[in-house]
Amino acid sequence: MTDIGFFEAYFLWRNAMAAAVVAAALCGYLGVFIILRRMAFVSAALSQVSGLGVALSFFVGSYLGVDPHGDAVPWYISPMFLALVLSCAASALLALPARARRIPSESLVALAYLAASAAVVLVLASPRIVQEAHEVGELLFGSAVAVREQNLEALAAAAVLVALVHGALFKDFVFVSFDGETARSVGYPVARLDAMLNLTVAVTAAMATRAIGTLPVFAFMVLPAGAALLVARRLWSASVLAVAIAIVSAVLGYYLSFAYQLPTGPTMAALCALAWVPAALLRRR
Amino acid sequence: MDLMQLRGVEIGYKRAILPPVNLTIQSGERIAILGPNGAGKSTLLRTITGALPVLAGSVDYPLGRRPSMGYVPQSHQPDPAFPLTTHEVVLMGRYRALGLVRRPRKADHEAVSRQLELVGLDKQESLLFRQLSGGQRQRALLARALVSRPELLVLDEPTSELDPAAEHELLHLVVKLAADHQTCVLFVTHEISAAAGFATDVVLINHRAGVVEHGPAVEMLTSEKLSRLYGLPIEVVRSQGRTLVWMASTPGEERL
Repeated sequence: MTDIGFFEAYFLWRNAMAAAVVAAALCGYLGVFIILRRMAFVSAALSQVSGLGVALSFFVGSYLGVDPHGDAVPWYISPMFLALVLSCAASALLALPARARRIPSESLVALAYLAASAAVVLVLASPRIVQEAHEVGELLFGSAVAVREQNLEALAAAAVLVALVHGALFKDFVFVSFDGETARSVGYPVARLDAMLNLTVAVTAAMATRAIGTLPVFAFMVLPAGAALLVARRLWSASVLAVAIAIVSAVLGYYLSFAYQLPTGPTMAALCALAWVPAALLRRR
Repeated sequence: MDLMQLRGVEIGYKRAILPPVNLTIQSGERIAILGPNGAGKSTLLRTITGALPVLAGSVDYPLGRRPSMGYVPQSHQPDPAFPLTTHEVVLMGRYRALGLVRRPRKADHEAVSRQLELVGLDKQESLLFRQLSGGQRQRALLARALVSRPELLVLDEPTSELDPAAEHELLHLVVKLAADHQTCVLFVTHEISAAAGFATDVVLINHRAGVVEHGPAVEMLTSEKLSRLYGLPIEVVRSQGRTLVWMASTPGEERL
């Protein structure tokens, strides 16, 4: 156990806990669409690509003599901006119709994931960011314990965006995901709706990755929804359960990592995975 | 009443796959689109629904607008992984009339229940869509297509995964429900017997043979035209109001 009590250290973990809860709720909700649309590894690729944006920010900053952690960082090399741009670009590429890209979607997802993963490691190995590499690495792999106010605000903005878009288009998203052929045939703008849905996933992946790291973002986007869909009989109850599992994993994971000095992101991800045990036992026939 | 007129329409994804198509779609008609695999049937259907733009020619709407449309996909198209009830699936058929957030009113729920009763699924209303049998799923999808009273009902191989009894039952239901509202029915099928039994008009297409013909079923479903369409000797016999189709795969060997 650490010397300082968990609740006494409130000022230390307030932002990080808030960011983890917001990210978990967003990713948990979107995860239901991600699982049902069979795009689990798209979310892995997007969080990894977002991580590359964060790493690139420090790399480019080293050439410009700017510290991306500082307040004076130009917006165009800020970690959030680069994560957002790369994530949205990857999302648009992965959403291209199969006929347009001529490559099976699994191959393209694997390419995005592997290229981004390799590039992150290579960027972090650069002698130009030796001092920041450890810190950036911790952030990307979800081991960082502190979250800046502005990252929390960006995550809150992403939450508002997702709430507005999904509040207006939830049923259309369900229709085009459930039966895109019929939706297209009766006049729904299926490509535009798919793009909007993917955009909300990309923005969430970018903002959440900057705040809590790639591993927990991927875990929150896939594991709670997968467990919830095992037991829930309705779409709304699956969404509520997925959000609840993600939030409990985030809060408990943060507490356990603080109390037992465990890496934060992996602890949260492990708790998300543990949720599958009761879900598998309770799964509906 | 004319709903749509295709005039010299060329269809395809980048280049035309068929000779120009001329086709008028009218209320109350039941049109079957027949042709072998890869003939361009679904491409024609997608063009008619507006999902695929025409390459040349024009599509005219005598009503001054596109006819309202209901669509029944092949049964494997909707994803059964979604935890949606039969009621929720049928309700999708009314989404377009519900405004931005698609919040259904009491009247919409009642219309769904009524339509499910008409297709014989009132007892399955609260069951999950994935819990239904193949025939029940197609009836639920038919209810979804009809719940907003469309002027044109489009079915893409609706019976491809059904046994003969379920196929017969579904097509009878389509004819009955469509007749109630003078709905035009346009369906793609591989089953010549289904076209013979249920269609008033038939479109024969085969892009490899450059065939596009349209006319009354009795004129289109002949031995000569079907043999040319499929490249196989096919015998058509009409007896006591029924049409029997025989396909001779090799000389001397015949099967029904």
